[in-house]
Amino acid sequence: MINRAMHLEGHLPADHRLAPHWQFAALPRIAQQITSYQRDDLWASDTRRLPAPLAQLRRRARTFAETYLAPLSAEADLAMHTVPGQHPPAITDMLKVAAREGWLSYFLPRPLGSMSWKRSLYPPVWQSSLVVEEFSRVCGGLMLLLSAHHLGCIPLLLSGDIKVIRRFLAPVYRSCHKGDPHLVAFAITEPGAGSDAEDGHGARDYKPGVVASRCQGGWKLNGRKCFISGGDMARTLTVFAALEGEGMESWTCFYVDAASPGFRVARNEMKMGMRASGAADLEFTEVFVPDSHVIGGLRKGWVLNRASLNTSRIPVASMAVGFARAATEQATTFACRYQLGGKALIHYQDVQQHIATMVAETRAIRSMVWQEARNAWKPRQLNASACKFHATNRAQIVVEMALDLLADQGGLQEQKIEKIFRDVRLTRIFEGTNQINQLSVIEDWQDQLLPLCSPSSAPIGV
Amino acid sequence: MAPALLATDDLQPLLDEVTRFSTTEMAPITQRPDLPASAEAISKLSQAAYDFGILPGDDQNPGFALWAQPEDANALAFSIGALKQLASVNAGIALAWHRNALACFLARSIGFRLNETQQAPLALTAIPTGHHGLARGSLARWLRRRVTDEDQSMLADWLDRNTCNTPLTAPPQWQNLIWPVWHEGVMSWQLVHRSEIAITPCRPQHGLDELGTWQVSAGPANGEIVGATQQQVSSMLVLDALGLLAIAAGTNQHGAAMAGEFASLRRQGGRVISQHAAVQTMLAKIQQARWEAEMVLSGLTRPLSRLSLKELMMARQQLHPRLCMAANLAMQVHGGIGYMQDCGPEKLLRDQNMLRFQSGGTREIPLFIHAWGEI
Ligand SMILES: Cc1cc2nc3c(=O)[nH]c(=O)nc-3n(C[C@H](O)[C@H](O)[C@H](O)COP(=O)(O)OP(=O)(O)OC[C@H]3O[C@@H](n4cnc5c(N)ncnc54)[C@H](O)[C@@H]3O)c2cc1C
Repeated sequence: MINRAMHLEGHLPADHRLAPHWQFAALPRIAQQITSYQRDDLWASDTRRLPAPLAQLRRRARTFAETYLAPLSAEADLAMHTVPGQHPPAITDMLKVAAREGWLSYFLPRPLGSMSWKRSLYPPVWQSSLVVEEFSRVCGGLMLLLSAHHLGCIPLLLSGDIKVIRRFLAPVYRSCHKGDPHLVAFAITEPGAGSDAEDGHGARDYKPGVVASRCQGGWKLNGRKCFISGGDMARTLTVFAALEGEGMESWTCFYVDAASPGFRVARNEMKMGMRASGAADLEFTEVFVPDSHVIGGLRKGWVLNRASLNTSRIPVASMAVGFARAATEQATTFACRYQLGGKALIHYQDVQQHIATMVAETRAIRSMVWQEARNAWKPRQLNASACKFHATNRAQIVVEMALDLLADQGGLQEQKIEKIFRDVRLTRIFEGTNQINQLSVIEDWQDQLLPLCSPSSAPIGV
Repeated sequence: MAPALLATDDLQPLLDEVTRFSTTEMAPITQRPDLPASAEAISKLSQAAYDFGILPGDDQNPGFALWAQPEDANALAFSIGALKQLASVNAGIALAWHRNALACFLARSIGFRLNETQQAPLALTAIPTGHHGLARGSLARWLRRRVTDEDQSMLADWLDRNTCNTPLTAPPQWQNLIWPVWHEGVMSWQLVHRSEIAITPCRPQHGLDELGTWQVSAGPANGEIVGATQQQVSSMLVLDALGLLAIAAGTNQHGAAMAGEFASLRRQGGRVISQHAAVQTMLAKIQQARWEAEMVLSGLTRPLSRLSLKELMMARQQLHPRLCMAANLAMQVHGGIGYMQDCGPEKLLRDQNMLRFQSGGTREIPLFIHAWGEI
């Protein structure tokens, strides 16, 4: 007798003569090679399709996330608001393991970084996207704690200056490899400039808030940065500041030691989600930065900033994929286990449609991320921004669908999806609001759009 | 003696009184979005609301308290307007009062005699629906008296309070609960005391921080049980949906005001952000959601017996996602600061989400509407 364990309502069991799975076995061998009715786990089959070194990375990231991040997630989210830099010992221990295992140094190949040589054939942005999805899936806050560090390091890398890499990035990575996590934060946002720090048109009119004044042997920084992820735990920071008396065109990246006199973490914000990572308010009072700590040259900060954002926005889109996936997995599990009217919710057709849509949405944004990431040796602004705003907008819809499926249970923290909502919500705001990312697409495209305004111009391709 | 009806001329002055009450009594304890009012402060406030007459008490003399005279269009308009106003200050407390008033309404219409302690502010609450969703189409068919055997077994499960846990979102002070149950093959009402209920406290929930959530279950031997009529169940669900929508609309009013004010002060891109089309579009969508809520609610301000549950369900299906979107936009207009718990929009978004999940949520509403059939 067919029972519910053998098939879902509205569907035939796989061994029924009308089930495509059954017929598939009867197809000739060649036909079986060009069609598929496997019952593989979706994640496993996607992973297999990746180039082997990336597949291995994806599996390792998942194992690390499930072993070290998942057990801390709920506690880190529920913890009381802490004073800057204070973390429960369990999180400090996790950071040490992450550092030792190379999760804080994978943007460079060995021996400097932890990237295997085989992996170095693939764009680091792609690698980062794979890792970030796995980490976000289990905990947005811990993911951010580990990922903001890479953003902090990116200007050092993008400076393209071997000396900077050897002198500053290599020690960071070395310290991490020894199990002593040296975190770096990325500081562009100021109380008076959030979008203006990410959009040239806005920056043009902005009077810089953090200013560097010349002094003997270097620069003195004064002013405030806000919302800096990991700024409370960072040992060093890439801080963007204007030169005294000049505008935002003079933005320069300074590599600042958090132990410098005059540097102070004023407070951590009380965030809605991603609560395991601090968003810090930083004060700079006559903070001395030697000339040697200017990254990429004076007045090269703006381009370094924008290039860093192009590099990080695809991984931010991948955070969204991780959240959409987590919500879909949780909701599907709920639907398979929660009983209504004598059967699990998954037996109802409308529930099946709901879940199928969530799966499709999640896979669609992942496809977009992978498509962009796989080619992101030189991440282009248009591609990165489009990917960021689209993936994060769609991911939130998936998470809301998961909440709707849980209905009365949706608000319960025990069901985990409400936390995913609080986490995914941030991805539409940081790394440039989605509105600013939409404008970034057009900004990058304008050299092609302007000629198009003339009726005789050649057509464009999208 | 029939209670006096509320005169049209009295409606606005009464609502002005509620505004005054919410500004002077409620706002001071709910000012900080990151710091939910204490249970003690809410108790005191609820006592003041009771004395003031918003919360129902003596069931012989319901006055103009929430849901006290739902057959009177003006009194119903007062309840909707008052909840909107209260929710524009704090959605959690508004929901607690709404459910308390709903439970009192139910007790009156069912004929449960409440003793003095049960009538105390916040002592009584209600769970309007079963353990998950809206029993798909079965509840609608039961209400329309077209119930099938399959519906019977669905409802028996949906309202199985004995073996299934149902989430209850209420202020910590609740002592008694009224809910529909499936008892000996028929839909019934159960009035049950907290001591007779198996309770599992839940962790702090997504929003409505002033309230707690418990998973609750109770056996049929507990409390009082009386048979339920279709009209009673329908009335309860209509008033509950009206209350949820009014609270959601009030919450949005708050968000709209905050977003508008912030956008007129914050400068980015060389001007105040309200001058950017991107921000104008968001503000306009928030306004539009507000307008839609007003239109729908004013269309639903009719005596209870002239309201159809199908309409209310359609209104929930339509408005909750719109109002959640508006809350999201209010946060988005604020940028990073909007994401912070001490700013305001963050709490409004969580509260708005919670309202959407209440009473079965919205996902099954299409099944409910279809099962209801043509009006
Ligand atoms: C939790 C968190 C972590 C963060 N981490 C970091 C970090 O590690 N490092 C860092 O430097 N920064 C960080 N940020 C800052 C983040 O990138 C900014 O919050 C974001 O860029 C938005 O800036 P804002 O908050 O000032 O919003 P605003 O710029 O004030 O924007 C307010 C609204 O106006 C709109 N707007 C602004 N300008 C325009 C325009 N020109 N045209 C149209 N619309 C416009 C925006 O879209 C938004 O809707 C973080 C922020 C948060 C919330």
